[in-house]
Order: sequence, then C-alpha cells, then structure tokens
Amino acid sequence: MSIIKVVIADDHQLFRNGIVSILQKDDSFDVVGEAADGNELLALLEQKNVDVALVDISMPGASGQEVIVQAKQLSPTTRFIMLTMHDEGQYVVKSVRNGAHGYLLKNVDENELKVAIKDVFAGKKYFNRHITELMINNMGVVESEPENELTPRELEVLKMVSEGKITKEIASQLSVSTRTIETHRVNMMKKLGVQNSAELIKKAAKMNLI
Amino acid sequence: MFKRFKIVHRLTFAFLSLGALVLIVVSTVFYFQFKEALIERTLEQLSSVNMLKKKVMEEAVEAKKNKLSYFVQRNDLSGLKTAARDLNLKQIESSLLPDSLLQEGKIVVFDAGTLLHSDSLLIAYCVPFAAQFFVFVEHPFFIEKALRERTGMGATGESYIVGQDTLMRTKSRFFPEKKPRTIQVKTLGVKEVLAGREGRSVIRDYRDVRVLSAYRMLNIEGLKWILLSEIDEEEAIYSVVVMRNRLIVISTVFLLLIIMLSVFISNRIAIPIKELEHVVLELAKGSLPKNLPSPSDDEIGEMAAAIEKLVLGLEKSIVFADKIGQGDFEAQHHLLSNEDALGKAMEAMRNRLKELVHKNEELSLQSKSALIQGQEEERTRLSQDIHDGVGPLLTSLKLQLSDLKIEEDEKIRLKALIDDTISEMRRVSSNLMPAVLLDFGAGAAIKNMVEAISKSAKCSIVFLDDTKKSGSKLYKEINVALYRIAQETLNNAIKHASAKVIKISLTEFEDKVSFYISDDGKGFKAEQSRSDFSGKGLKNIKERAALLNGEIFITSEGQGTIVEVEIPL
Repeated sequence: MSIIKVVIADDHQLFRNGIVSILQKDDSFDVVGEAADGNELLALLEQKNVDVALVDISMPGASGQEVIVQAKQLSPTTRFIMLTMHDEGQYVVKSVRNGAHGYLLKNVDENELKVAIKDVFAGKKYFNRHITELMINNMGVVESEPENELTPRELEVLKMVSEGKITKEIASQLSVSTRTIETHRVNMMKKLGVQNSAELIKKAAKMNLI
Repeated sequence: MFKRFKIVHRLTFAFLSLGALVLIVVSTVFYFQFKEALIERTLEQLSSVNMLKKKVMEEAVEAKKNKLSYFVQRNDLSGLKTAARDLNLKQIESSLLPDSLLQEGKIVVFDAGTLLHSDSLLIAYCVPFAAQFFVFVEHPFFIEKALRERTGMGATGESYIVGQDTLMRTKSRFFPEKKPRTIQVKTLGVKEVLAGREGRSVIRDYRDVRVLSAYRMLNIEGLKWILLSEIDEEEAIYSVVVMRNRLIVISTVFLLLIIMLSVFISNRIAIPIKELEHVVLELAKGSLPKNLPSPSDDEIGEMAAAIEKLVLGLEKSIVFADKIGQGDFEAQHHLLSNEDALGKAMEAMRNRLKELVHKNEELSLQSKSALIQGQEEERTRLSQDIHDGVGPLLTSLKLQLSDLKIEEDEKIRLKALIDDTISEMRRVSSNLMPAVLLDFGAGAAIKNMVEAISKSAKCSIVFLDDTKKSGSKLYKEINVALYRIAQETLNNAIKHASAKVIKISLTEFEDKVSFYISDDGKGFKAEQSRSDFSGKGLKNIKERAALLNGEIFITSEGQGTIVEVEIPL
C-alpha cells in the first residue's frame, strides 16, 4: 500500500499543526505541504503531486468550494475532502457539486479522518451519516430557467388552475399567499402572451404543458 | 351727525318724513281747497238770501207806493187816507220836512227815523196831492220780518240794514239792548256799497269778528240803505274744521302706521345686515361662523352669498391647514382664485413641510439603514470570528487531546465536552448571523432555521422556498432583511400565538420577492401578550421592509395571523 500524499489548506496554523501531527504519526500518510489560503493551495498543487487535499471552506480570499473547481483542473488526479466548521447541508451540496469527494466537520475524530482520507484515496466518496442526511435534505433540482418558459412552480400552479381550483385553494395547498398565486398567474400570462386565465389554459393545453 | 344714527333710525326717519310730507301737503292742499270752495258756496248762498230779502223789501215798499199813487191819480183824498190807514201808515205834519223832499208828481220815500231823530226804524212816504203834501210814516214790520227770516242763515247768521251814515238802522242780534243808531258799521262791505259796488266777501264785521258777508244797496228811491247778510266764518267753515281735525287724526294714525311699517321694513333690512356683521365679526375673531344667514334675492342676499363664499373658502383653507397640521401633505387645495394669497401661502407651506418631512424621513431612513447595516455587519463579524476563529481553536484543542497522556475514559469525556462546546458555538454563531444566509441566501437560511426549530417545536412548519437557485437577484441586504423578518414572525407565531400549523413561503419573481407566513394561532388583536409583536417586533419588520421600499400586509383576526412582505428587486 503506497503512502498517501496529503496537503492541507486552512488559514489556522494551530489547526493545521494538529492535523499534521495526527497524520505524521501514521505511516500511511505523507503531508507534503500546507497552505494558508486558496492561492497557496493552487501553487502547491502545481509544484507537487498530491493524492488527497484537505480544504477548508472559509478561507481568506476565494472560498474552499470555489478553489477546488480550479484545483481539479490544475490537478485532475488529486481528490478533495472539505474539512470545515460548516454544519449546513447547503455547503455540503455545493461542495459535492463543485467536485469534492468527501466532507468532514473539523471536530472530526482522528480515526474518521484517517478512514475518510483512505476511502477517498481509494476512489470512494466519503460522507458520514450526518453529512449524508444534510446532503439529502438539500438536494434540489437544479433549475434551468430559460426566458419565457414556465418554472416548475408555475407549472404546478397552472395545473391546479386548469383543474378549476380557485386562487385561495391553490395558495392554501402550496402554503403561499393568494397574492403570490396571483403574481404567478400574471407572470404566466405574460410569458405565454395571453390576456386572461381562460386563454392561459387554452394556450397551455395547446403547448402540452398540462 | 347723521352718521351716528343706525340704519334702522335712518330708514325710519326717511320713511316718516316722506310720509309726513305727503300727508301734510295733501291734507293742507285739500283743506284749503275745500275751505275755499265751502266759503265760496256759502257766500253765494248768502248773496242769494240777501238778494231775496232785498227783493221782498223793495216789492213791499213799491206795493205801498203804488196803492197810494192809485188814490192820488183819482184825486180821492178820503180813499188815500183810508188806504194809508189800511196800510198802518200814520200821517204826520209835512212842515217838519225839508223842502228837498217835497217834490211834485211823485211819491218820495225817505228815512223817517233819521229825520225825526227817532231810535226806531221808520220810513216815510211823502205824497203830493193837489198842491199839498201828505206825509205818512210807518214802522216797517215787513223789513224786520224779512230780516228775521233765518232760512239759510245758520246759527250765527244775521241780516241788517245800515244807513248812509254807516250807522245801523235795525237791531243787532248780538247787541239787542243797544240802540241801533249807536252802532257804527264801517266795515269793508259798507264801504264797498257806498263806493257803488255790491258783492260778497270775507270781512271783519262791526264786532270785529270774521264773517262771510253779502251786501247790497236797497233799490228804493229816497232810501240810501245798505242790506247786509252775514254769517260767522267760524260757523261757515265748521265742517272744514271738523274735516281738518279728522285729517289730523287720520294723519296721526297714518304716521303711526308708517313708523311701525318703517321699523318693520328697516328691521327686515337691518337684521340681515346685523347677522352679517356678526358673521364678519366671528371671522375677524378667527372663528368659523356656523349659522350663516339664509340668503335672499336682494343686495343683502348677494352680500350674504358673498360672505358665505368667503366662509366656505376659509373653511376649505382651514380643512387644508388642518390636514397639513395632521401631517397629510398629499392634501390638495383648490385655490379660490388666482389672487388667493392665503391658499398660495399654505400650499407653499405644505410643499416646504412636505420637503422637510421627506428629507427628515430620508435622513431617518438613512440613519436607520446605517444602524441596521452596522448591526448586521457587527453580527457578521462576530459570528465569523466565533465560527472561524474560535471554532478551529476548539477543534485543534480536540485534536491535541489525542497526544495527551491521560486515561482513555478521560479523553472521551473531554472530547464530548469539546464537541458540545463546538455545537454551542455553532448555535451562537448561527444565531448571530448564519453563514448560510450570506453564502446561500435567505431561502437556504430560512430552511435551516425551520428545520432547526421543527426539531424542538410542537407544531408543524411548512416552508416553501421558491427563490432562484441560480441567477437569484436577491442581494445581501434583502437576504438579511428577509431572514430577520422570518425569524421575528416565526418566533412570534410559535411563542406568542401558540400556533399548531405554520406555513411560510418565499417566492422570488422577476421584479419582486414575496415573503408569506400564516399561522392558525391567536391573532394579536385578541391576545395582549402579542403586544410584543404588534409593538417592537412589528416595528422592526416594518422598518426593515421600508428600508428596501418594501410593503407589508398584515391580517390578524382572532384566528390566525397572516403577514406578507413584498420587496421590489
């Protein structure tokens, strides 16, 4: 089993020291460099062959999530684990979308840290149960919203309108205000270029939207 | 002087003098015309009575002369004497007579009383008969009878005879005890007759009393007697006097009526003027009169209408000023005219105030904005310091625990303690300013908040996040504001309204973002404990929305509360 070459990017010297001392005690890991911010990480990746990079999200300058997008291009073989204080699903999802292979909170156990690095190095992804839960809760459909096309919410409203539901019912069902439903309706009419609700349904039917 | 009198007095005076003038002129003209006509008529009547008496006397004397003459022509002396006796004539001595009276061929009549110095009225007939003269004297009762005939003479009427010597021949009605010849009648009538004129007029008689008098010379040859018929003017014009008195009474009544009428009319004119004066005085005091006089069609009515217009104008101005005073700077004022100085001044005042208030509001908004921004920045800094500064230190501490030569049990206990500290730190940091809010927007931050609260809260919270995941136009201030509004309203719904179901949605449109929260708890009108929400909390929400030109709609009716905030993008 080859030694895993690891770099760590974090703006806190003390924290870096802690991680480094843990990894150095284990022969499976070789800490080949440390970076205090995103730019230093990129420089490091240029110079050295790195297997796994531990990257903090909150760093001076570019955030860790943005940095890994560039870093992956610079060093396609390197695998990235976010090591962060952020215990919120949005950060997890964004990190994964940006190409992170693992997500760890900074109060991680020594053992879990080692397991995660090894798993990721082995080509797996590492997210513990808590992180997975956060991720699932925040997985949304990435909306593409070209001009003059109805949003998923608008389509939902349109469907209910075509079912003959009145604004109040739709609002109640969607937990939004009647004012909001009215705005959706007006926006849909604008997008489809019609003058009233009857025309809206006719046009929508013609376009196979409902 | 005249100016000092009030209108009522002036008008009364004018009416009164006009009425009095007309009455006096008409009455006077009437009175004199009537009097003159009456006098003229009475004189005419007197004259005919006078003429009648004259004729009676003349005819009586002529008849006697003819009888005597009849016997003279027959040379019948005894017949003559018999006839004379029949006629109550007494024969007297002819030698007593002056020769001038003794004329051949005709009977001469003369005033025997004068000639014989008698006090009685006597006339004598001197009859020539065969170269002799016979003289017969008589006391002419027929004259006295004719004079006593009172027909047409009234109560004070008197006919009497005056001789050429201006002495009275017959007894005066007024001085019956006086001898006629002692009374001298040198009146205008007598003088006229003596001058050869007869006639009638108003003169002073022998008593020096004004009388109406008709006077003629008796046409009996030999007698130069003047017959006067007179009646006191006082009696003649008695009816005129009565009429005059009546006229005075009627005039007085009329004048009283005129006074009453003029006072009435003057009041009709003056009272509206008084009322208007009152209105104008009220206006002058600065108060707005409530009872305006009812307008009529005359000039006073026009004035009243003009004043009413003034009052209405003022009223509008007051309403306008009042609105400005109450801070309604959108109040509109229609200028009463192009010269409406007050209106223009107030409009200028309103505009100036509006500007000031606007500036003030802007300043206040700016300072509030600065305050909130500063507060949020401070929270952000503090939150990041805790999260990114303290956090790694704690994690470092945890890592270093591994190297410590202590019991494994102790290690686990300490690690758990550090983990608790880290989650507490996360909570504090997140409460101050969630990192997600800055990095992922209000939708994500509210979602996390709802999830966190749902774990401990006993109610169901539904959150629908319709913000755009890519290309969102929500910027930091809006995100922070939306998050704080959500924090406030959600907290309120759980803590104060004891809601069971809470629905929240955040919808991002092209031109606006709409936040909506509804709960089924106690509306804050019904519940005193929610005064926190309707007070400070509500104020905060309103301010945050206002700073971003947003609008806030609140419906709270006992069962449930709906808060909607719309912020333009």
